[in-house]
Amino acid sequence: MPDRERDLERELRDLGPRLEYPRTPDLAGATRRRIEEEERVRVNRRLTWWLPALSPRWAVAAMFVIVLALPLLFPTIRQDLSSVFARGGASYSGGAARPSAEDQALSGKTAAQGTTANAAAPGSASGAQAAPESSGPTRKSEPMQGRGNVGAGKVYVTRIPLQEARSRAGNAPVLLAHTPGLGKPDAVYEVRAPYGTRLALVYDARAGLPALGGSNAGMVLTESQGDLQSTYLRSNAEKRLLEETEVGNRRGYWNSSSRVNWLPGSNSGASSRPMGSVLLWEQDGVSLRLESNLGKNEAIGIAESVR
Amino acid sequence: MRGYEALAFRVAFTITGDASEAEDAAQDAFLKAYRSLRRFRSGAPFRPWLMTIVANEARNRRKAAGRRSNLALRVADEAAPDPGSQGPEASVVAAEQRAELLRVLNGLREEDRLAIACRYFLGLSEAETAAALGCARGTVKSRTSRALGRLRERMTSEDAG
Repeated sequence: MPDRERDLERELRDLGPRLEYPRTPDLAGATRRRIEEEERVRVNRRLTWWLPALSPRWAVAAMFVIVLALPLLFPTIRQDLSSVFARGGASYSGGAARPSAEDQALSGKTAAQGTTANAAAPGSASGAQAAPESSGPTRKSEPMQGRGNVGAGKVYVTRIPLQEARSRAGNAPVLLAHTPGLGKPDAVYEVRAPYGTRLALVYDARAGLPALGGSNAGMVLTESQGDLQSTYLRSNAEKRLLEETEVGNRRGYWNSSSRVNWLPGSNSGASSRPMGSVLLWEQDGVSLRLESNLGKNEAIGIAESVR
Repeated sequence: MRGYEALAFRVAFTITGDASEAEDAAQDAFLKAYRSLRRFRSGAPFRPWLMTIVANEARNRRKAAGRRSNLALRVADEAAPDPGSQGPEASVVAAEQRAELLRVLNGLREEDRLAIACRYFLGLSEAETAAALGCARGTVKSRTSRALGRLRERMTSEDAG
């Protein structure tokens, strides 16, 4: 590099520090303030974004979600709600599919012994004769699984002889209908569940006892220890669905168009469960529920023969 | 960033030629650098990375304003004696030479002025100058060389005149 060029470069370098520049502003401080301001704005935006949640529309939506979520989270709430929606007092609890003995009967198929409800195959009296010992998952457990997603409580359904039912009942009597021609129940089920143990007496469909839905069962008499208030009528909402009537000299409740508790063999939910009538009453410390396709007077007539 | 703010501001000022624009550009650049710190490769030199952001921001602002830089550098107060000079007389001569050099430099084309300002006044590396001018390193080399040639040429012709 020629000396002249080197000299010029040196002169330029020497000139640099002597140049007059505007005073350097406090860039770092200003940048910090802008960062803090942006952070504040971001937080405010976040709050603003959530504000709509306080508007009525969002509040209603939030409440709806909470109402749906609570029963899933708390079994007791679920039990109470389910008792409301299971008309005629056909309550189910524990969140699990609660296949009552009636359901077992309504399936009109195989019997289940010592199995959990989710795997139990509901049976009718006549079906039980054919295969009384079958257990494990069958196609009849499907509707229970469909409704069983609600929770985890287990329901054990065991088909037992009538004699055993009497011994298991202890001090509580096993009440039977004594209507002429009805005879003894064709099948008896013990239903053990978180909400208590029930006994379900199933009478096959026959002349004068029309079948419930597509099942072989014509009538199901369910017995639970305790009064109606603690078993089938836990809420006033349930009472409102029922017509007050008399069974003998006792107060009873009637609903001629109640859906039967379960629809075995279908996953399609409550709307496809067969319609039937339900009669509730209390007798000798036992709550009774009679499901059938009979008229009110006929059902009351059978109920009055129970002892 | 505190240690780089003077250089960042001067780079921005050199490019925009306006103190207010330079301040805004440097501030925006600092903010962008802060947000991009995660992308900064650890171990890489920080100054070139920061100066690239500053220069980009300044050039964008100048482009958006739709005008060319009207940078006109001035020598600061020369009243104080030059500590390196031989005496008062020599100091006065040196100051006059510097003023003359700057006057000629301000008469050069903008790209020549910018190249010389970045390389010699601000002490930027070739890479940093390339970032500031928005061109390749090779271009910086050739442009600086040409700028020096033109400057010398003008100085010579001024002396002859």
